[in-house]
Amino acid sequence: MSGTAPTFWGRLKRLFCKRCGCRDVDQLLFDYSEGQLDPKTKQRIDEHLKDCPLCLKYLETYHATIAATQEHCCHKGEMPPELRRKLEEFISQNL
Amino acid sequence: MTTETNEQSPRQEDAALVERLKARDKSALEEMLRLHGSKLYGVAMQITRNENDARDVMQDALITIWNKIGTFESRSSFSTWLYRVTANAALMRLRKNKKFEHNVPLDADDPDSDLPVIQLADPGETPDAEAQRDELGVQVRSAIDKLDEPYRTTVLLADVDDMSMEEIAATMGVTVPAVKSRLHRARLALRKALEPYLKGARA
Repeated sequence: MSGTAPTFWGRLKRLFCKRCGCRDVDQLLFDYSEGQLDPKTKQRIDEHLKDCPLCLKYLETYHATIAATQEHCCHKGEMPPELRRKLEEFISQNL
Repeated sequence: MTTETNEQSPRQEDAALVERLKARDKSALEEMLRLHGSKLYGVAMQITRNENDARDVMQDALITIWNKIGTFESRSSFSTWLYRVTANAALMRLRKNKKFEHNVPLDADDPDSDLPVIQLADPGETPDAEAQRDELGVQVRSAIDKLDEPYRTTVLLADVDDMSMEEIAATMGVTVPAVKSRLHRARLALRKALEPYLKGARA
């Protein structure tokens, strides 16, 4: 599985270990994170995560990426006052 | 004895705005700018990455809001509708400037196989937690800027502007599965690029 560093052995394991659960995490990561899995499948993933630190790390960094995007990418600035004036002019003259 | 106040909740303010706009009250547009303008400008800036384009987008969005308010049926919140109109105007602007192409393969089985590649600067040493957090912010913005379209816009609409998959699909004119695929691939590409900076940054 792809953990902190997707090593050669990690990638090999993912390719050949079809029953190990790492592939499930890979394929179902999005639905798992969005809470869109049925309870049985979610439980299967939860069980796997308890035993697989690499998958757990992968999931954590996936969630940390979403959180970092939300925290750091939001345009928090105010609209420039000059633009607000121009838009107000536009409203009164053109609409 | 009861105490009456004139204070309205945001939802009540929005409902009153919608009524006034439907009654063709232009001053309601100015009020809308006061209440939602900065957030809408943020959406426009995030998608266009250009102040001049964002200004044009705001103007286009005002025209659409004014002309299409009659079609707003309160099934989504008014603010969500405004964000959608603005995002749509921004996407139209990108298309007009030929900065947005729908030519991305969506059928790769292996999510790592052909992810958009993002090259960031070497993380190096960071002296303390605050500097590390600032550094993460710089790298996140840089990584998003380097994402190709339509991944960039998809991840912004979903993870920053908090639009639903259905809303993004309607805004971008694609299916919900396509939105999910693009969003997942964008997140994986960002994760790959940001991993060295995410130490101790667990959500």
